[in-house]
Formats: sequence, structure tokens, C-alpha cells
Amino acid sequence: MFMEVERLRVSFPSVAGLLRAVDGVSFGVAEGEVLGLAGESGCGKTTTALSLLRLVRPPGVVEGSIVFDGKDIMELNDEGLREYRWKEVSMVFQGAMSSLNPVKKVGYQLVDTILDHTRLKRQEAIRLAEAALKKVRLPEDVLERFPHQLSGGQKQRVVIAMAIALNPRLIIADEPTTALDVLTQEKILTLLRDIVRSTGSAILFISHDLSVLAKICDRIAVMYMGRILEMGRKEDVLFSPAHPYTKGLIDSNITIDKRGSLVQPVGGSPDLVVGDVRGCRFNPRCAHATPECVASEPPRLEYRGGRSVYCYHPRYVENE
Amino acid sequence: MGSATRFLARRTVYAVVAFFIVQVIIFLIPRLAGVNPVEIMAASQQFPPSVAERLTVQFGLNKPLYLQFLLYLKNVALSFPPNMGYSYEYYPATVWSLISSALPWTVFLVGSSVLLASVVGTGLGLVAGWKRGGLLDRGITYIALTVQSLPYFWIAIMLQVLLAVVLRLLPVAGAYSATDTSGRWSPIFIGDVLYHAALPILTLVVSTAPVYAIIMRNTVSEVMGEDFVLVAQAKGLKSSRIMFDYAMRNSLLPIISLVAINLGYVVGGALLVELVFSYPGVGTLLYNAILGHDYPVIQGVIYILSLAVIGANYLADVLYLLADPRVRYT
Amino acid sequence: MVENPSRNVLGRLLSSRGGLAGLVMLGFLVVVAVFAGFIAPYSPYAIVAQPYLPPSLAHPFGTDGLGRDVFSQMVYGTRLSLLVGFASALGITALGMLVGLVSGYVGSHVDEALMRIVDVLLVIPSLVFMIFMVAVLGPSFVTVLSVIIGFGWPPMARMVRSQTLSLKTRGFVESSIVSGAPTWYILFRTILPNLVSLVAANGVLAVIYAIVADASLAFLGLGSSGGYSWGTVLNNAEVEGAVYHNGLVWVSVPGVAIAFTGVAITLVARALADASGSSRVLGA
Repeated sequence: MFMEVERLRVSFPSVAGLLRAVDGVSFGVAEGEVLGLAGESGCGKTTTALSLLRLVRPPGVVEGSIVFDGKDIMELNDEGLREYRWKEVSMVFQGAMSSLNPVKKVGYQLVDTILDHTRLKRQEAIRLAEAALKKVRLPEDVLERFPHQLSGGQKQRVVIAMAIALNPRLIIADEPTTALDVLTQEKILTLLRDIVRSTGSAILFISHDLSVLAKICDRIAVMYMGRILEMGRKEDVLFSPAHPYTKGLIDSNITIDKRGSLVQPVGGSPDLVVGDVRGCRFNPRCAHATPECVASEPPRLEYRGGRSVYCYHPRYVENE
Repeated sequence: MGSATRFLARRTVYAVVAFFIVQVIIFLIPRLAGVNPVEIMAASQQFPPSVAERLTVQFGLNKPLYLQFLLYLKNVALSFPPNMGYSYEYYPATVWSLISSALPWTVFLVGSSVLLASVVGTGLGLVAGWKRGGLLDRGITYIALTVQSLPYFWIAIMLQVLLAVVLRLLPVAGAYSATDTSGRWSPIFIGDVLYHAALPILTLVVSTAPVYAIIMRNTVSEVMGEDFVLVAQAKGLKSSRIMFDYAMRNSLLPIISLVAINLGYVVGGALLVELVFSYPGVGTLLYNAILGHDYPVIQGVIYILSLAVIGANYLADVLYLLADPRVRYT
Repeated sequence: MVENPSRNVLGRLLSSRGGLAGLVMLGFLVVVAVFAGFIAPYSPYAIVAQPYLPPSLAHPFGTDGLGRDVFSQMVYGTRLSLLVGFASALGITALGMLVGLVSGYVGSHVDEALMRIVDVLLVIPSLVFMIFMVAVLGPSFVTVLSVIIGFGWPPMARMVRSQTLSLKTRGFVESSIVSGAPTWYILFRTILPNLVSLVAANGVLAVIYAIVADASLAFLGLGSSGGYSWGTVLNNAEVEGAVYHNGLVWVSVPGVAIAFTGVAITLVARALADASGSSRVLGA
């Protein structure tokens, strides 16, 4: 695991109290793997991602440790942070539409990060940019276009090209397929798979859509109200979920083989975590909640195959 | 380029309409006030009734009003050099000759100060908006807001007193030394002119830069909150690159409009500043014309200034169109 | 937002530190203006001492070129300056609000026509024309007031219009329209109360615009004839050569007074703008 996140907490002071967007998240990313981060909107996925690049803006407060290759990035100085950003970890932001500078040509935006991170000359940087465009299957003349001249799908590819230009160890993809139609979604997913295979970069794939995660991830972590509830190999999590919430999520998905049976939504809705909250975050909506779930934080239970669950009553898991 | 040409056509119509309305106002107001040029001249120059009658005919005052207006339009707007009649005070000097010798000085003042103020003000605004709420931001904003509510001419007088009278660093008044005998464009003359122009230009820059700073700061602040700036920071770009190519480039469009909107005020302020420094531009010309009830000169100056401002506004519209790639490359 | 927000505005204004400070400062000026007769030791026109005297206990701001007391001039000047300022602001607010409301609410041709007028007025250099009109028509309180209002209402109208346009599409306004409420009701009971703090903020800013415009005109000798405003003091200073007679205090005082007023007004305007909650507020 070249990236280890330990007890990450991100809080925002507000009139109602301290808003805990991320409340004690720990996970690791291994070389070349695709780790999925699943959860409903507002559960803290994007904030977690932003913390990995130290992009949480004030008044947000970030605590915990994020260790990359043995170095805690929370300790990096300004220059070190600048070098780390994009070269080691890059990001494909939610909404490619607004990720691009409207008054600069696409080529410039691909090249600027190369120039600021390497000692390459302009011509060589352009070569690299062309190579990146090739990998996302866009023609070279895109370099001369302005963002508003591109379609949604093209912009998405450009943003991906930007992210892979420096060959980072980790690419964070925040809902990269959400705004796209199903056909384009498939193309983008195939693209990402190819990138993982050919460059060896790892991907942290954030999405609320389990079916998309199922297609591309190796491992999946399920987040809820600022905490990770369950994490493990894709097959384990999706086919034999241990946490009641995960099971609920999977059951609420509409798939062809469920034809005829009722879709089971998970009752209630998530809330914002303000101030100090005890106990399991999911207990208000959990059918299996007991007094101890309300009283204190559930323990981390670890199973075979790198699987972990934070629950007092995990289901469907073979005993150790 | 459909929407762009339509926009341009609309702005052209506006400019022409505004120009026309300006002409009407300039023409009508003195008439409404019952100004009779011949009477005024008679008051200061004492001539017999026969001369008065001849002048009345010469000025076309015995013709119906609308004809007078058309004649006025033809003379002033449609001929070059504009025929604006004769000055009452300096008869037989023509209004145009007076204006054309004073105008270059005013253009010099206004031009240089708009250039300097926009650059300085925008620069300060960029720095202030870059780190919103920071020390530089608060300092620049407070100073800008305070200076903004001060009248141009007061700043002129204060600077005059402080820098020219008390510290004797710069000349108190005038555009050049009266004793200078060197040729028209000699370096000594140019140096002298710059030396004398320093205070008036400084005044105008100090008075007008705050507006640029405030608007730029607000725009930059907004732009800094945009997604693509977050992406730029995530990309680990150098701060200077983010500041100039991401923040500044996206904040400049409103500034272009601002230069145009501001021009009217700068021109008005320049008139007062010229007065304080006895600068021989159209401001001083206008002031003296007001004191001497020299209506043709007053009308002429107002006309020229309005033309310049309307023209500059139009130019700014065109520039805005060219500067926004979203419009140009559609 | 549906219950009367104007009550909140005053409350918020008073509770904000900046707003309170601004109000106190303005209050001070108003007191000086109202009690000018008691505060000023002399008439501004009376020659009471040697000319060009430096500041002293008897003449805190010194005397002018004819030997008149500058302090008294400033005190009486407060009256006229504030009067012109507030009266103009009132006129600008009334006219601007009327045009803006009608334009925004009625829309179509009326809106087009009114906005054309606004555009033309905005493109004409205002000070230049104010000078022209006052010079030709003769300086008087009415002329000065008219030109200041005449060139000052367009920004207010624009702002009110854009706010009206956005409010028009809001739920509570649409429901009023649909339920058949009379136009005056919609305008004055639903739309107007929500404009109050924005209009107030810009109206307050109009005061300083008017005071500066009046001072500029007075500086050129075009102030309300016979009246004494801060600009008149500066005009005297310029004409009587204060600069050459060590009249530093004499020359600075009017500007300081205007700056003081400006700061007070800005504080109040900001407090009012914050009370309305929106970020794009100060248009004028």
C-alpha cells in the first residue's frame, strides 16, 4: 500500500456546531489497483478525495495522517506539496464541464502542468500532451481548441488526459461517468481500465452507482455519514455484504434479475454529522440495531482476504 | 458570428442615438434659457443696432428653430473641422481653434491617467483578491473605499499643497515653463511637459485607481472560487501561473467595460483637476467660458467631450467582443 | 422572506457594529446641520478678522481670503451639503425605484424603452453635462438638485429592475399573481418589501454621490447661488489662493468632511447590504 490514510477527520465550523464531513476514515491503496469508494451523496466521499491532495479549503480543518510512500503529506511544505500534487496523485473532478479554464486553449492546459513539474522544453511537453490525448483517443487538433468548442464526452476525456499526463501513482476519479449517457459511460470505463493496465496507475474511483463500481473496481469501500462501514474485495462486498447498510444499498439497486420482486429501498435518509455523535452512524435506519449500537462506536472486525467491517452485527460472513 | 454582429449593430445604434440626443440637448438648453448671442456680445462689445442686425442674420438667429438645429448639425457634426462658430469673448477667434489648441493637453492627461490607473488599480485588485480576507486584501480595500469617496479636485488641491508648495518637489501649475525656448519636440521640452504633468496625472490616477482595484478584487475573488481554479491548484501549478493565466485572464473582461463606464467620470474629473493646476486643457477653457458666458465655447467643449466619451464607450464594446474567446470562436 | 422583511432590516442595521458606527457619525453631522446657528460663532459671510489667519482657538480652521471664519463656513456648509445630499438621494431613490419596478414588472416594450433611456443617460458624461446645464440655466438649488437627480437615477433603476425581474419568478409572487391580486398590491406588498434593504443600501450611497457632485459644481462656482456648501469653501480656497497663503487646514477641511461622510455612508450601506443577504448588491 503506497498510500495509507489513518483516522482522517475533516470538520467545518458552522452556526449549528462543528460539521464533521469526514469522521475517522482509514484505508490504503495498493499499486495498480482500482479501489472504489461508494456511498450516497453527502457522505463525505469527495471531501476525503480532496484531503488526499490537501485541497480542503478553509475554514475546513483536516486531522489525521495521510502517508504517501512513507511521507505524511500533511507535513509537506508549500513547494513539496506543489511537487506532490498531480505528479504523484492526480484527480478527475466531478463535472468536467467546469474543470477547464474557459479562456485558454486545451493544449495550454495540458502542457502547463508538465512545464511546472519537469524541466522539459515546450516542444517536448507538447509531445507528452499529444501522447496523453492519444491514450484517451482524442485527435491531436483538440490541442488548438477552446473548452467551449468541445462536447461533454470530449471534455471528460480531456480532463482524464490531463490527469494521466504526468503518469501519477494514483488517479482519483470523482464520479467520472455520472453526467454522461450510458454508451459514453461504457467508453470511459473501458478507457480507464486500459489506462490502469498500460500505465500501472492506481485509481480511487468514487461513485454512488454500485453497478458502475462493479464493472471496474478490484476492492470497494462503502462510506456513510463520514465513516467507512465496510471494505473488501469487490466480489465479497457485492455478493456477500457484511454490513446491513451495504446489503440495503445492493438490494435497492434495480437489476434485470430482480424482475418481479419488490425493490427494497433503505428507509430514512442520511443526516449531517454535527458535534459529537456516539454510536454507529447507521443505527437510526438499521433494522438490526441494538442498544450497544447506539451507545458506542462499533469495533473494526477483520476477516480473511483483507476484509473489514465496522459493525456489532455483521451478516453473511463465514466465521474466522 | 451571428450574435456578435447583432450585438455590434445594437451598440452602433445606441451610440448614434446617444450622440443625437446629446446634440439636441446642447442645442436646446441655451435656447431654453433665453440666451441670445447677439445681446450678450452687445453687452460686452458695444456696437450699434445695424451691426447687431447683421450679426443676427449671420448667426441664422432669425430662422425657425428646427432649421437652426439642422444647420447646427450640419456645421458641427457633418463637417471637418467642425464649424462651431465664433467665441464671444475672443471674437474673431473660432471656437474650434480654441478647442483644438486646448484639447491635446486634456487628451494627454486623461489618456495617460486612464492607462496608468487601470494598470495600477487592476494590479492592486489582483493582489487583493488573490487571498481574500488576507492582510493585503483588507488594507487595499479599506484604502480604496476611503479614497473613492473623495472628490477629485480635493485630492488635486491636497497633492498640490503637499508636493508642490510644502515639499516643492513638483511645479504648482501650468503645462510647461513659460521661459522655455527650446523647440517643439525637443527632449528638454518633453521633459518639462512631463514634469508639469506629473501632479495632474498623479491626482487622476489616485482618484480613479480605487474603482479598478475594487472591481478587480471582487471579480478575482469570485473567479478564485471557481472549479477550474481548484483544479489548477490540484495540478500543482506555480502560483504565478495560477494568478496570471487562471485568475487574472478570467477577471479582465469586466475591466474593459469598466474603462468605458469610467471614462465619463474621468473626463469630468479632469476638468476640475485642470482648474486646480491651471493646466491649459479644455477644462480651463470651459471654466473661463462659463465665467464669461461664452456659450459657443461652452457648447463646443461639451460637444467634443461627449463625442469622445460616447466613442470610447463604443470602442470598449468592440474590444470586449474581441477579447472574449467564447464569442470570437463560435 | 414572506413576512415583512423591512422590520428585520432596521433591526439588523442597528445590531451591526459598522452600521451603528455609521449611523452615529451621520447623526453627528445632522446635529451640526440642524443646530448650525448655535454651533457656529459667526455668519459665514461676515468678515470678522484678518484674512488668511492660521487656525487658533478663536478660529479653529483659520480665516479665508476676506477674513471670514472658515469654521463657521464649514458648520453652515454642513446644512446645505447634507440637504442636497439627502434630497437628491430621495429623488434618485424614488425615481429609480419607480422606473425599475415598472420596467421589471411590466416588461416588453415599456421595459425596452425605459432601458434605452437608461443606457443613453449612462453613456453621457454626467459631470460634463451637469456643468453645462447648471452653467447655462443658472445655478440655483432647484437646478443643482434636478441635474444631480437627473443623472443619478439610472443605476438605481437598473438595480431595482434586475431585482424585480428575479423576484417576479419567485413562488410567493407568482402565487399572488395567480390568485388575482391587484397590481398595486403585488408591487407594493409582495415585491417592494423584499427590495427594501437593497434599495436602502444604494439610496444611502446616492447621498455621497450627490454631495460630491454638488461639491464639484460648487467648486466651479456653480453651486446653489448664495448658498454655502462644503464645495463653496473649497471654491473660495481655490479662488482666493489658499495654497499660496499657508491655508493648509482651510484646504483640507472640506475634503475631510466629505471623507467623513463617505465613510459613515459606506458603513451604513454595507450594513444594509449585508442585511439583505445577497452578495451582488451595491450597483450604484
